[in-house]
Amino acid sequence: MCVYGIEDFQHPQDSKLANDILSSKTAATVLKKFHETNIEDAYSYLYQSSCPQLTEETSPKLFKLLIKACEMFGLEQIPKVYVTRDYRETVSVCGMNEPFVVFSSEYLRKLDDETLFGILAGQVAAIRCNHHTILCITWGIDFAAGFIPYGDWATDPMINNWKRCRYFTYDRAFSLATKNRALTLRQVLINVVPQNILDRMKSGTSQDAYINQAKNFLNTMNNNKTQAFIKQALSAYSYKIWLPERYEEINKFFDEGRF
Amino acid sequence: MPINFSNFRTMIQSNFPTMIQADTLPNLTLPDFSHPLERKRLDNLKDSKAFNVILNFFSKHYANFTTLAQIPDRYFPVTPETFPRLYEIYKTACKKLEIQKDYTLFCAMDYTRNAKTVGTDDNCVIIIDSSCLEDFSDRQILALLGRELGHIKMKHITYLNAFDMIDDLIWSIPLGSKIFTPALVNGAKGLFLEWLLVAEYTADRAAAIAADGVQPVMQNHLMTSGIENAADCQNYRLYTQIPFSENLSNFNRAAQIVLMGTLKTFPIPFVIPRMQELEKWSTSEDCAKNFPKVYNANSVSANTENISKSLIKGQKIDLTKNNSTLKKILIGLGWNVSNAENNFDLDAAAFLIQSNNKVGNDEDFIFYGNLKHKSGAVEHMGDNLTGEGDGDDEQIKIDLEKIPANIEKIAFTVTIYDAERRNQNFGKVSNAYIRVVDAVTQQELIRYNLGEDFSVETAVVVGEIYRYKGEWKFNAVGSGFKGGLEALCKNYGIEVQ
Repeated sequence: MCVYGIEDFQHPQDSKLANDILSSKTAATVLKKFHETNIEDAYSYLYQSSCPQLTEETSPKLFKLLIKACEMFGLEQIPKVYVTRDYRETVSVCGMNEPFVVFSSEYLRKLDDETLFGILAGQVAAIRCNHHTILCITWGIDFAAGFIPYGDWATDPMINNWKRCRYFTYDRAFSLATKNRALTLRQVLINVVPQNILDRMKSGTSQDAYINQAKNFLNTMNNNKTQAFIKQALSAYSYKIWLPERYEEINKFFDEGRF
Repeated sequence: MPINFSNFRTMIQSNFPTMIQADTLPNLTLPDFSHPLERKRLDNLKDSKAFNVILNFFSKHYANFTTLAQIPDRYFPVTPETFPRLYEIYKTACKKLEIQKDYTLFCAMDYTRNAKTVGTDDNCVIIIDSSCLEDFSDRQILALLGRELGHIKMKHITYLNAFDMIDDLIWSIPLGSKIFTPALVNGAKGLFLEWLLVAEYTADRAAAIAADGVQPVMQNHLMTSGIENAADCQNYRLYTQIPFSENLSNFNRAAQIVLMGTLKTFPIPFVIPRMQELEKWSTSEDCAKNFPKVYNANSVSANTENISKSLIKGQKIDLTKNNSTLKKILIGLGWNVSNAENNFDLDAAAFLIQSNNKVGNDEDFIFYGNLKHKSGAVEHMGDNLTGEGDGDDEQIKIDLEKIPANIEKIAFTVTIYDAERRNQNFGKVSNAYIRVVDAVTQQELIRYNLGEDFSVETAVVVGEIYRYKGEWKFNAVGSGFKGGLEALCKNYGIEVQ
């Protein structure tokens, strides 16, 4: 089994923005507040006490894959895993001192083994890259909005950008774990299009139903400065994921033949 | 023109058909089931000036404009004609909790597997999600409705909905944040949170009373919180035995505000402590004395832990951690061989393995040629040469207390005797299993069916028991080997002649 270092899967943009955020004044203020209070403990407690925890006894298959992902991406402490009922297909890393993974019930219900492994790899890689800490900081900023004056909010566009770019890292980890381009591309569109349509999109094949749309979009952005400016301006106030960029980054990663 | 609130209330009430007839109720005999801390925490809440401002505003100006006002147009009333089975269950829950007043039940199209009560203590209705009707058993629905009726009976409804209003107003209406300033709201939130938790403890007790046991309540909690199937919730203790490092009183006010602000993210906030608290109450003397049906039913449900657990390959499970009386076990191994196969002899064996994953010496290998370990901890009950008949083909007795301290695990194996010469393998063996039985009560605790995944293998490590933090656990291994007993022996460090 290959073992990967952070440099193998963390996307450069993710790395740069993460460093920028962590060294910002706002982040320092939030972290200071976290240390002064026990907010982080309360946040973790809320998950521990409100979500069923999955263990080796309740979910042996999931844990087998999780342990494998931890070994593959060099994470020593196997994170705890929780489930929460949700009709959306979601998974996220939470917590700061002791990061953990939260799956939606719908996601767990639908996942096949290979996709599950890729997703777990993505979460493990996120923990390795300290995404959970930055997510906690951004959560703290969101929650404190209106309550505590943090000075300027110039970090908003930077945080939104990072929230998008972190998925590049996630996708790379998914790619390295599964080595399956079609599956990696397919998972980008989960929650974007309904399952039955997704099944017909043939992601990653010569008949990929999305690739041309993605290319056209990126070409327009490259060639039309006004459109590109509008996109950048809108992006500053939203962390909505850029699907074409993710698609492009995944294809680039596979084309580079790094594995 | 000013709105006349009393007319509005009358209009709403006139839209609700009467459901439960109070004259069918027996004499009221239900003992108090409220959590002992509830009254004190409610008094704390009532002493809060901020809380009273919130409550007054809610009662006078807001209560009837909430979901309650929208119900007749949005939800389906549950009547004997529309939902006969659900209506009957609801009526049963009302009787069990001795609810005298008529409260209307509605069904909403939703996926949350939950129910809620909206309005005030004087004028409220219960709404149950349609997903409950699809996914829950009758007893689970009984428990769910019992929980809501418990809130009604204990007069929680006004408080619960008043605090819902705060979030609605702050986040939805700009004026809301002017009236309910953060200082005002946060002053009351911490106290409310403390009361809320014990109020839910009380409601969970009502649910157990309605359902005659805690098992359906636990299943509801887990299924509403993310566990997909009822079968996976059968042994709810797998989820409730996980310890917590914190409790609410450890958090300062800032952290409690965070808790309040994030509560609604979860289908059932604090579901795990709630389950733990219910379990504790259901085994208490108070419960035994006042609610024997819940207590008895709990004992029955507790015994479901002793109903054999079926494992899958790789699954590990505690043997002694939650069953401290378990001292002697019987390992039963069974299999079937196709009738067409003659002269097929399978042998069970046990390897007593040390921390280096090897046996200490040949005496730690228990098989048909060495039936008993010198410590007396492991005893092979003899070889079955044919494998014919139902039940275990071979059995091995284990006395857990006598296992020497240097033994970390005991692996149980099945091999085909003389397989190579006879050209036999596990591809021709079916229905192979291992089970763990409490040797004292004869209760089967664990069963692992190996499935049909083997083909050329001539030896299988079926399962193993191993030490883990001072307790014994079982691991459903299910790994096949080529090379029969010899390969296994080499694997565990025994020289084969």
